[in-house]
Amino acid sequence: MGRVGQGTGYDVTPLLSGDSLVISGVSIEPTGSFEILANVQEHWSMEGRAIVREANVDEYTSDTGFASKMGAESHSPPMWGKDQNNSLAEKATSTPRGNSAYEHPDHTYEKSDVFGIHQWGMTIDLNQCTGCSACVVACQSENNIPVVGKDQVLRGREMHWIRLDRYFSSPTRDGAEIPSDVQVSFQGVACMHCETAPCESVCPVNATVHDEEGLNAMAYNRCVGTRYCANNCPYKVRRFNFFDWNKRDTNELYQGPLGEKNDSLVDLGKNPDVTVRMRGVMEKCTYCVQRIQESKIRTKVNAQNKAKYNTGEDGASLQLSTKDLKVPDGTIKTACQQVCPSEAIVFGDVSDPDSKVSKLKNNSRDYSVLGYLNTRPRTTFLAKVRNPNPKMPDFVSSPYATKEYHDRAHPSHHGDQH
Amino acid sequence: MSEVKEVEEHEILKRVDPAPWKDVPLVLNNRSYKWVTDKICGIVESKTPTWWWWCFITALCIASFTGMGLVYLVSTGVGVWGNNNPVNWGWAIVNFVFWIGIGHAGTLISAVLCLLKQKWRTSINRASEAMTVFAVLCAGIFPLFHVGRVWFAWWLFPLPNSNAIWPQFRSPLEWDVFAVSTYATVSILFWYMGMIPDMAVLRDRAKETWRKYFYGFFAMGWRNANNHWRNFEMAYLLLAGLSTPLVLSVHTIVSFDFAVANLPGWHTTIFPPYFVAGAIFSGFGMVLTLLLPVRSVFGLRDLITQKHIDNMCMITLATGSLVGYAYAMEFFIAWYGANSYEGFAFINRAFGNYWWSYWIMVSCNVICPQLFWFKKIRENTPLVWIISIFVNVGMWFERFVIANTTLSRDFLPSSWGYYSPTVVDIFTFFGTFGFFSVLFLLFLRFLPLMPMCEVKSVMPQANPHADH
Repeated sequence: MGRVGQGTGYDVTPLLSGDSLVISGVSIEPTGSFEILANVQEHWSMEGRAIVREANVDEYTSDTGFASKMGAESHSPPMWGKDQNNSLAEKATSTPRGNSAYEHPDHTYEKSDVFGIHQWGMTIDLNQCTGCSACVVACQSENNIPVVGKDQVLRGREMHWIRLDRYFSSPTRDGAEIPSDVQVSFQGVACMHCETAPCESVCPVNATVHDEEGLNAMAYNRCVGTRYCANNCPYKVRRFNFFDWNKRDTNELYQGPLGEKNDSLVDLGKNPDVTVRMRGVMEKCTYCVQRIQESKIRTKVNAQNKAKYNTGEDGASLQLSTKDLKVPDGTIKTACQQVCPSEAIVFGDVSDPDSKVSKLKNNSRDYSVLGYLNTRPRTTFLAKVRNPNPKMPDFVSSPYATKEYHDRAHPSHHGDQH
Repeated sequence: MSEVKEVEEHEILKRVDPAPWKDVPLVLNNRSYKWVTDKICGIVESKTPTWWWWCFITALCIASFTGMGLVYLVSTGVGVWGNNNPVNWGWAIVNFVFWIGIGHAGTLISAVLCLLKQKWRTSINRASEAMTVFAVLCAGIFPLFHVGRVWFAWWLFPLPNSNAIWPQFRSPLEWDVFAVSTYATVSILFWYMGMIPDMAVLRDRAKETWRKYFYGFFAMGWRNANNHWRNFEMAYLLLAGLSTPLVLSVHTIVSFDFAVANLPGWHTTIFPPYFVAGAIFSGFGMVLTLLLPVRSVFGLRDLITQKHIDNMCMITLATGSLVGYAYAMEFFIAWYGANSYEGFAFINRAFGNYWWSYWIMVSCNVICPQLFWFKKIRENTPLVWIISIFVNVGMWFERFVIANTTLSRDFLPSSWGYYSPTVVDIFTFFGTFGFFSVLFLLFLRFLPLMPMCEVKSVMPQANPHADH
């Protein structure tokens, strides 16, 4: 048994005494002993916040843009000010400041090197997400994310770069009581790669910075570990290496240098394209930057080969156009996207209006979580549409979560929709 | 000298017959200059009292907790503390703000009150400045060691390096580096410079050789010459002017650590004045905590009089009420601003997962100091001392409430968590009281705990116009 499985779970084989796999006539009695379950999410309610936005199909057909009419940003001035209706590509490559009184330099990629030729973005379709958690596992394996063990999960130190948030909502809301008749909403949350990222401006050593293609990059070897970025991240997607997870045995973390080191065999399972982080540094989703880099290099090599073949030129005289260097849409798949069985996650270049991700972002269901903070996340969500059967006894005209949101947002109308 | 003209008495004065204004004497019992010198120097020159050794050894043992805690922390990782994902700053930052707040009274007393010509400051300013310096040293431990890789903490300083990477000047933590190091430097300078004439007195009275060299070195050749005094007073005034904005700036910038972040409950414009008021409040609390026992042990009742205690109590009352006003105003703005996240953050502070810490804070910081309205209570020294302890406790909890209630429940309920300190957190913090006490005991033993020259300047003998 490996280090992860040790001391976990219970052996039920003694129950299977005899020849048959089916035993009848058993009785169950409480033992009086308790076992603490390690859980990465302790709070079940969305608290009436417009985090997962949902509607029933009738509501959706009568107002396809329902998602943009929820949350604080629905009644605050538009995030992009006068540039609100600019195209996605334009917004991604010029960072408009809305109604700012100050002039800003033109950073479009033709005019400066601040913007790269791609602008990465992602959509997660909450309609398609089934909450299977395959993305969480794929990410963990792709990005050498350490397994921290039950004790550390109980302390709130799990390291997942993408997590699956799960909220319950119910028709009756009475404070702390856990409801029995619930609707469940799932939401995969990873680093949103905000264009105006709150984490970047608070790092005192410039360890987390924006790259020219819109990635919120993390320089592990510059990080001193103040954890200010993680505090200031409204999505709480940053993960800190509280211990030498990769070096130390999970059961000996508190022994420090006196503890036993990990079996070196485990190191062979690591992805060689991804840095293994030491203790004391912050980490988070990179949009699988190693895959992005690999594809960009391959595209460039292909373009060079093609140009060499066509022109016979080589070396410095070889001319490559921006178009040739652009990675074709769909070439790069992030690990979470690759495994998603319902294809809820789409990744691509938002500066290309024809990319799949750009088209999805122009869908009326598209919204930014906590958009009112003006973080301008590159990962946006497509609102969930439920299609309940009106003939079922538990049919409700609007999802419970949506009702709770409206009740909290407009308390004066409380009770109208029941 | 031109002749002074008799000014005709104003008409109104003839009618109202004003009562003569009598300043309460700042040194009681008509003490002489010699008595002051003998009293202050005597503390340093007498044989080390047994109680001092007991206190010193105890303090040293307690201080070792911090040492051991930090060795374990650095060798093993920040995980030995209780911090987790939503609460990435736990006790360390709470303790930092707590100690730096305490460090505010010293400079306020020596600089701001000097510029405001508050003569009563003279007998308490030296010890308060010492407290400031030591509190800032304790404070500095926490932001330094709370980082994940302390061996790279020097990257926060703008030093030229081969990677050509500069610190990030937009980060409030970076501002902290400059604010706190400037404050520490100026406080130490101010404290030391004020001590030079007293060092010379100790040097001149010294009988043992080591004392002659020790005080002689630090007296920097002070000869009591007229131009020495002139330079001294000018330097004192300049440093007072330089320190005054620092009293306001340091805690303003410390408050930016929170106010510049976007979290509900942190992102509020009230933080700078609110933090500065709180810092002065806690600083005066600590001055009372320290000086009341010192006054009693060394028999300094003629120098630290009831008037001094009254004044300190009244400043505590005023700043405590200001802090209470800020608590109320935070709630009002949270409601008036109509941001649901901020509204939740404040309701959660008072009634959420850390409700007990909120009410400890309110009881200690807002309700407790109201007792200082009553003269009877201000004159009951043991009670004043106990209230001053409550002030210290309350101000620690204020920082705990601010840092932890907001972090534990911010925007997305999925990430909500709960923070509890570990044994290592508790002992590391507890140890800093030992560290502080070690330094303060050394100060009491080896340095003049009152500025003799300044105390003498507020005695009746110093006033050429006084009745003799």
